[in-house]
Amino acid sequence: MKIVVCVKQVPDMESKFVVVDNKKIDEAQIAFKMNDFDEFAVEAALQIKEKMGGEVIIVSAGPERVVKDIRQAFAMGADWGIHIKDPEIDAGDSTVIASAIHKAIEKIGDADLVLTGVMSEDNQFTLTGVMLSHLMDIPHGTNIVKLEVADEKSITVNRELEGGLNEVIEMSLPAVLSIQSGLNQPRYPTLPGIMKAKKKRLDVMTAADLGLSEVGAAGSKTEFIKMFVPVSEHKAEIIEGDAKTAAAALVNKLKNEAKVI
Amino acid sequence: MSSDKMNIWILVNHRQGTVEKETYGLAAEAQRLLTMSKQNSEEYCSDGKITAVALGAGLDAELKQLGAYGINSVVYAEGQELARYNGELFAEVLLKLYEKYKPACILMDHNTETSDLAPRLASLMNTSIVTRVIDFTISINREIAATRPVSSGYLFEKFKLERTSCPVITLLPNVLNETEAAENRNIEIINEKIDPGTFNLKTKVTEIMEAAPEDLEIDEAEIVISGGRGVGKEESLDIITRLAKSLKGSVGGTRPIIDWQLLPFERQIGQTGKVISPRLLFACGISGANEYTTGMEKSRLVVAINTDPGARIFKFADLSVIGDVHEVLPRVIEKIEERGIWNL
Repeated sequence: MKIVVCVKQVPDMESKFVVVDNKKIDEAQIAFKMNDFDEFAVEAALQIKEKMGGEVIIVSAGPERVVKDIRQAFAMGADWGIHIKDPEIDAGDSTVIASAIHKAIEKIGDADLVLTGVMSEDNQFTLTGVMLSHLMDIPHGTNIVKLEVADEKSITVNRELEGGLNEVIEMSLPAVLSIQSGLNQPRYPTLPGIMKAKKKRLDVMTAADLGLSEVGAAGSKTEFIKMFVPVSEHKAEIIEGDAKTAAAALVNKLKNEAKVI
Repeated sequence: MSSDKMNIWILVNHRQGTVEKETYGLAAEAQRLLTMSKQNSEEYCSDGKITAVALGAGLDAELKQLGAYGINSVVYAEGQELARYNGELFAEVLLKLYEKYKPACILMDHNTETSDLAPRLASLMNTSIVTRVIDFTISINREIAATRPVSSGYLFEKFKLERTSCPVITLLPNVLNETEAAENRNIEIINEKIDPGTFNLKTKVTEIMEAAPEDLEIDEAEIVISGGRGVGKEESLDIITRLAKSLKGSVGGTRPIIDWQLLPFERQIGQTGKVISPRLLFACGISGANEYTTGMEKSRLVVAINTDPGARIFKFADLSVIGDVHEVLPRVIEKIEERGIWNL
């Protein structure tokens, strides 16, 4: 099986977010990491490869810094990758990113399965996977919480629905799946894995290399205006005393003052 | 633009034959958008209208009630195949309806299903989409701009949407305010017969699995007890469940708790989980990362218990106890049970 995993590098949410010129975050203060949801997707791909054989290919778009997390996926066990490196692609919206990934997957050729995280931790659009499947005109499932590849022709997945329901669906391959977190336990790279990762093949491609003409604003359907920090205010009452005193005072307040229990 | 009449579509969110309250919130938002556009440009939108679009079965009586929320008409695609959500099928049906009626924009509340449906539909329509919107505006030249939280809510981003097509927008449920019903007006219900057999679907649903019925959903519960990293792994979480039992509440967790597989996904509170607004929320051993607080800041009364006096969660709490969850909570439970609260 040829499995492509789309990986995005995102800011660590524990970083300090400082907005510059109402336009972007100050990257000097940000630690970058692999999007959590994508880590589950990489692990899912590696498990399928272990069962069925084949290769796992990473596709990631962004500036030079994303190489760190492509190599991270290599260290986990992915075989090779494509780094889409073009500021004009980065300047575009989800439509442009999905188109660029689509072109990269075409370059790879004959992908049996494409996995993405269900969303990125930073933007949380939940768009790329769906848009990609539309461009590729192949089946798609979002919010995947379980997957079983029976053979090289079809796949059975569980999707998360509203109301705590799970939907079991079957689809033929190739297909695109958007992976929900918690599907598996992503492995830590081993030391030999990290050593090998440095030598694995990583192709760098621009929009021109991919044959993508509509990039940046021209290929986008939305236009970014500004970024800003929201304000929030709240005051708290601290209940003093040791655990026993505080617990008694708390229950008393909830019962007699707030009347919520 | 096929017509200058501003026709805003809202997707009816319904479950088990009942229209969900988010639908009314969407109607209020659509009303706000119409009023705004009217103020900005008289001749354009003086006859703007709100259309609810419903896909389902057996909803006639419920849909008639929508007139009380300022909705002018309902486009109703009815069929047994549409009784339950199916992303691929719903997107195809909505595309057909869109092509027939050409609305100005389509609004949905953001949930597990629409996070699947909205991008499918926008792709089929080849139009712009912005998800998880908290505010949107329409300007004098009918440009729509949408604001949404990013980076776990630390930041907001504002976008302009392509004007030439019908944008698809999903709104976060916490900005959809509950609306009072006005006097019910007569509402036109247009029935659309669409044969699902005409679509060449790529996926096949084989089974629907129910969650355990005794577990009340956290976004419906009045009292929620939530635990985070500070509670600890494995059996440590039992204390949360015990408190939930004694207060007849529901159990939720932060993302680490869900990632440790101590609770299922649907119990995750936060930006990437459920947004809840219970009457009483206990935040136990939770530091208060933005990821979590975005999901709970609308809660009426928040009790925070944490050992770290500097924890961010205390900024969001009404009542705070600085202490170890495993020392405080057993005494809280003891006190509740001793008082025989349910018999008072």
